[in-house]
Amino acid sequence: MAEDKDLFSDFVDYLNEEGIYDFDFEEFLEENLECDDDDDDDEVEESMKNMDIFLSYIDKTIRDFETNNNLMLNPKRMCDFSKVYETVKLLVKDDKKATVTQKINEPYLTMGCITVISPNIIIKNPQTFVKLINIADTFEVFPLTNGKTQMNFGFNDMVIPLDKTKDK
Amino acid sequence: MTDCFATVSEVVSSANKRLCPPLVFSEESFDILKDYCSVIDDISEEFDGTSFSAEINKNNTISIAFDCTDILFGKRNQKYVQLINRAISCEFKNIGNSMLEIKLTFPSLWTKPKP
Repeated sequence: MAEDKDLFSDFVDYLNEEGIYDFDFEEFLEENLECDDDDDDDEVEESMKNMDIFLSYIDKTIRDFETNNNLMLNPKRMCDFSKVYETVKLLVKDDKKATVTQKINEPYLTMGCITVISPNIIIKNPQTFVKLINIADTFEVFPLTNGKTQMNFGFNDMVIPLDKTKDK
Repeated sequence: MTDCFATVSEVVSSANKRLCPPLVFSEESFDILKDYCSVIDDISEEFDGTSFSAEINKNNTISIAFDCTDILFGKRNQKYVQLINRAISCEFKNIGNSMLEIKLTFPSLWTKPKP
């Protein structure tokens, strides 16, 4: 537990700065940010509240990073991103209902995402597809409420600091 | 819920009666497919899957489908990514009720007899 607390020491500093003193740190770690089916409403609400606080901390950390550093586009990741975008378009070109879109620097400057939306995403060349998954940092597929399926290739490090020294 | 290999074994057993002879069943390929099924079990468990289905296609390739709420692969999920690499094709379909069906098609377990 002590090691876990070291890992979260920045988070604890954040809680103190924000004046949040009722955060149940041990329960947060034990529950691993998940709710059990047998949790009652109060436990679920507490878990969600803890999650919101943790997400606010992540948000602040990233915003601080963006504010305190001179950032430039990362040429390697931009190149990877373009390669994956063009190849994904080729992989689903026979699917007339498929849309392929890209977003860069949203919601954070460091992030990029390529999205495929179609009722039924069929990949006939899995070997190429797997190479794309491995280039991306995250890969996710989930059903949408409109009956379609969404596939995301997520990229990190789309921008990098010009140097490691913070501008103050 | 039965495991993936139990579902696949049932379908393969039924197809065996129909295809052999003249085709020859490859035990080696079946053992490899058993490993794939084990990985599919893991994916299904991690992403709240509820069922499996399997079918033998016209060209004797085998398709295994399973449902799940969603999938999210990061760098630690290489086992899952490599499973897709072994497939001939893969399909992601919204089947309603916030569930996704993933269908992976693998090479045939049956070969023509050597002359």
